[in-house]
Amino acid sequence: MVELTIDGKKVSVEDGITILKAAQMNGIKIPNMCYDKRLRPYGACRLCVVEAEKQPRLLASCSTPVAPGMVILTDTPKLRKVRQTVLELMLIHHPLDCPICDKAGECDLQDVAYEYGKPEGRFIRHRKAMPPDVRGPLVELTANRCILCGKCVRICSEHQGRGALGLIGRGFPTVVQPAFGEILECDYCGQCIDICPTGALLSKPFKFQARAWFLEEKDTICPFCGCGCTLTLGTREGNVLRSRGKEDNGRSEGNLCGRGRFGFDYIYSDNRLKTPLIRKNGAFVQATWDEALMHISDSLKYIINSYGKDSVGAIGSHRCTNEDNFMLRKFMVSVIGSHNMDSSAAFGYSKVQKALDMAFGLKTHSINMKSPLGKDVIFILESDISITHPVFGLNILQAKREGSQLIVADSRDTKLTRHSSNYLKMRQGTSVALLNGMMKIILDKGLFNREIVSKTQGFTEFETSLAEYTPGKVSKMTGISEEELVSTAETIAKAKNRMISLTVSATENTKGMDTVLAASNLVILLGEDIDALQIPAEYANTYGTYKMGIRPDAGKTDVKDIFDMLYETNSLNALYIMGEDPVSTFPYNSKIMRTLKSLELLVVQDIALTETAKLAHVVLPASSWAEKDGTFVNAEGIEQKIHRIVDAPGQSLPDWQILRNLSLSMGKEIAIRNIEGVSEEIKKTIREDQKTSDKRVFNTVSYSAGEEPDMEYPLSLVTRDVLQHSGSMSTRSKALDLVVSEAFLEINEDDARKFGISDNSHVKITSRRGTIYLKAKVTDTVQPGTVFTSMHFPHGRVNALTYPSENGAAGTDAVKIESVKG
Amino acid sequence: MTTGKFIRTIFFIEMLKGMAFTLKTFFFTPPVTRRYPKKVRVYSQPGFRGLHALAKNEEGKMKCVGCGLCGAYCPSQCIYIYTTEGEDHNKVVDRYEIETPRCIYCGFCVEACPFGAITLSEHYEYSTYSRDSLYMTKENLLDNWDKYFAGEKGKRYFKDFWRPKSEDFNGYENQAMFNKVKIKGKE
Ligand code: SF4
Ligand code: SF4
Ligand code: SF4
Ligand code: SF4
Ligand code: SF4
Ligand code: FES
Repeated sequence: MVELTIDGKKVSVEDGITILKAAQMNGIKIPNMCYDKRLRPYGACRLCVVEAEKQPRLLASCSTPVAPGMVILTDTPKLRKVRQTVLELMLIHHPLDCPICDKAGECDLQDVAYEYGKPEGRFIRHRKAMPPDVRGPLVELTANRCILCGKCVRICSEHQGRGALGLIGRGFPTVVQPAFGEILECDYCGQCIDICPTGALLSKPFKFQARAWFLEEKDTICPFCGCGCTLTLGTREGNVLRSRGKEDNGRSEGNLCGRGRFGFDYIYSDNRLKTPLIRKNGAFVQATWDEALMHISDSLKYIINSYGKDSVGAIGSHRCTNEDNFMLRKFMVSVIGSHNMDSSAAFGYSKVQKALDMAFGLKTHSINMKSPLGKDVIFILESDISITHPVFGLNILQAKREGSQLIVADSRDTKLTRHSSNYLKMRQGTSVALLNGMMKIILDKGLFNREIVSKTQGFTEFETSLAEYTPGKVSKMTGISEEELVSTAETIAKAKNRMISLTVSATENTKGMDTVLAASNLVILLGEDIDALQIPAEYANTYGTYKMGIRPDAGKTDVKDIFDMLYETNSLNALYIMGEDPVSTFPYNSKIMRTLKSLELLVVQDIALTETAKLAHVVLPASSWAEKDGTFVNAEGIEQKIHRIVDAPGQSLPDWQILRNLSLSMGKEIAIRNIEGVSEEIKKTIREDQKTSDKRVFNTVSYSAGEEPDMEYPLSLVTRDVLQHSGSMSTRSKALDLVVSEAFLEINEDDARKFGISDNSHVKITSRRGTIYLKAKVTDTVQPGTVFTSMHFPHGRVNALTYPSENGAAGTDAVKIESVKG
Repeated sequence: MTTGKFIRTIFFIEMLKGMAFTLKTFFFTPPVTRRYPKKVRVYSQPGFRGLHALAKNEEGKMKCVGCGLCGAYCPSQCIYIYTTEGEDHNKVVDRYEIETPRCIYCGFCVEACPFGAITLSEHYEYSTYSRDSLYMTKENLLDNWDKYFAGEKGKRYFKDFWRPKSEDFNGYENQAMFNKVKIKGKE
């Protein structure tokens, strides 16, 4: 600890921190423009100067560390004069076009100029007159307003790991630009917009939409991924106009990715449902709530009477709140009397959960977003966490910057591989082989505590099962050289502490339960705790949906899971789908469509007319995330409130309310009047799962390839997420669609040549299950023999090709491609 | 009681006197009040703060850029401004509306505007039977300029009654920036 005096206040702070930080921690404000706590000190603006006793020169407080006994003054006439001059110099070039600058009202430059500036400038003004760069889809650059603080450049390269912006040129003509003045092509996280102290970087969708002082700001939780970032939504007269992150706000501490920042406008998509629809003679007819609910309850009663309760099933949703999912469960259990419930988690979080239960005896698995920090080695297994969980990914990058060793095994180049210390280029879907191979090496070299670990249940079988995973064989399976395998295994085994992370979800087909089991084995083998394994739940409320009991194992044993409900015709007669679009997002959709069409009653409750809703008998309009109160549980298992910020369109209602009304029209009173009632009921019924357990079990897993490519279908199709999208919901966002609006097929240059495919041409892709047409993108970021695509876009119909892998194995698909002429 | 007083009393002289005065003023003196709206007083004080108008520049285009300062300053919060991005990426004022019944005619909006775009005309007679017509839209307000500030009047308005702020600006066209502001007591 260091003792010093700032403005007459005696403070004692940690050694090594800067004067600015020490002052801020003690509530003393020092003006600054180029400092951000996420970034290294830079010292560009000189506004943060302070006086120190017995020091002839002024100190830049943002980059001067504290020393014992310092006597600091932060606001003296001399300092004011210096700051005034600094501002005078800054404003030589500044256009001061505040009236048409969207930053006005929350502009740091305006604020300091107001506080310290003087009305008159002594210099002849030389204003930059660059026209704003409006070419990019989401971020607009107006170099004239830039004060060259370099914050954007630094947040983009240091923090965001992208490095899309640079300070180009020298002296007066310096500007912030992408390299070579190209169009800005980047992650579109918009972090630079938030951090820019001036209006040089602005959000395009928000451009000229409203002045800062006309906006009403309210915090809520992001509806996309499992990070659960806090969005500050700016609304004006009942319309959400923008979303931003506020420093130190929420789990994300103000960081956001592009989806949270720009994607909120999906609630304004054109095909939002406004009234209930009933299918009559094959076409939808608008109906009143009473008609629709009567129709559903009559049909349900008839179906229950004729085929029994078990012929009714329900699918819940990670897009809906805990309250909604809880009501769905309550409706199914106490009104229908059936336990056939499942959600998209079946393809992701449920698998993880099952595996971890087998290995560690835990019914819940929450991650800690901060866990990468301070780890010796971070091992990422065939996952692009920077895309699926961007803010968690930021922490991984930060850990790497702070000295952790980042090892990434992946089948394609990603942001994480670019930042990795070691990049193991592997064949897609071979994670299990890789893990087994590494464990074999660890076992053979004795890099673990045999005495303790060998007592673990299942160890002998586990050890023998690994016999065949010799480095040579594994190297052939995975495509990683033997030396690399050995050295990686050694690094991971010898590390002081480690974090192993991967993601499992419906949108990725290279990992399954086996992968998680193998990773658990590795963790147990190394004597680590489950915390070493960080597998985040996919979406905003996947964790909560699972917790609320929308899962097949939550009730009795002989219940139907998603595979029975959607892939077996005749297993159900009625299906109630809340906020999910299986036809677009679940694999093998031709089969799903066949099942759905065979149902006697399909009720879809959603915010828009989805592909699934188009098959329904009754469609009910639900309110979206910004139009209702409730709670989400993020991947960390933390419950956070979402708020009703705008009014729901038309007659749409919150999901829980629809279900309550439906219960009433089924003749069953559910004694719940309002959202508080639901929360109370949840508190009473849902028990917190235990978070620790001593159970450790080795589960032997053997590597099995998905569909192996062969002569007829020579390529492997891998599905991955796109950074700008999350599920199919975000594809309704006009802003995000400006970046990527259709699925494309990424293909290696060599393969492209082989199959006669050129960039941007159309290709026909056929698997054993179906055919689709996509645009090709020839790239060197994917390896030969594999093609990549994403399944966000309903019109891409990628799920016509895929299949669900029910056993724990990964499910890569074998496909053939042909170029389409014309 | 004197005789004189007695006679005055029985003949109601005092009352007749009073009635004569009443008759005289009622029938032969013109009323002090005016029969508005049949008779309109032609009287206007230059600089009177009446109905709003949106100023036009020499080319006849609206001066307002939609900066929203008037709306921020307005103590009764009755100015609504909606802008969007125009085709050539400039700022377009889609709607500029003033809910005049709420306006207190303080003139703050005029003072706040960096472009001299909002004005208060000398026109005050705009009472009507429908509340809607008191809600001024951009089109109404621009028309008001033509109606009440035509010609020389519009040109002089700011010079005469408000500090001509636009003269403090330099820079490109349509760009507001302070060049020199005189500070009191410091010349
Ligand atoms: S950056 Fe700030 S000071 Fe500069 S024009 Fe915009 S609002 Fe005004
Ligand atoms: S949006 Fe994000 S990735 Fe793009 S330039 Fe800004 S900080 Fe960099
Ligand atoms: S664009 Fe903004 S953040 Fe970037 S250097 Fe200029 S003023 Fe700083
Ligand atoms: S998508 Fe995930 S990382 Fe991005 S803002 Fe939302 S919660 Fe945060
Ligand atoms: S202050 Fe002037 S320029 Fe700004 S919105 Fe009001 S009238 Fe228009
Ligand atoms: S904040 Fe210290 S120099 Fe900019």
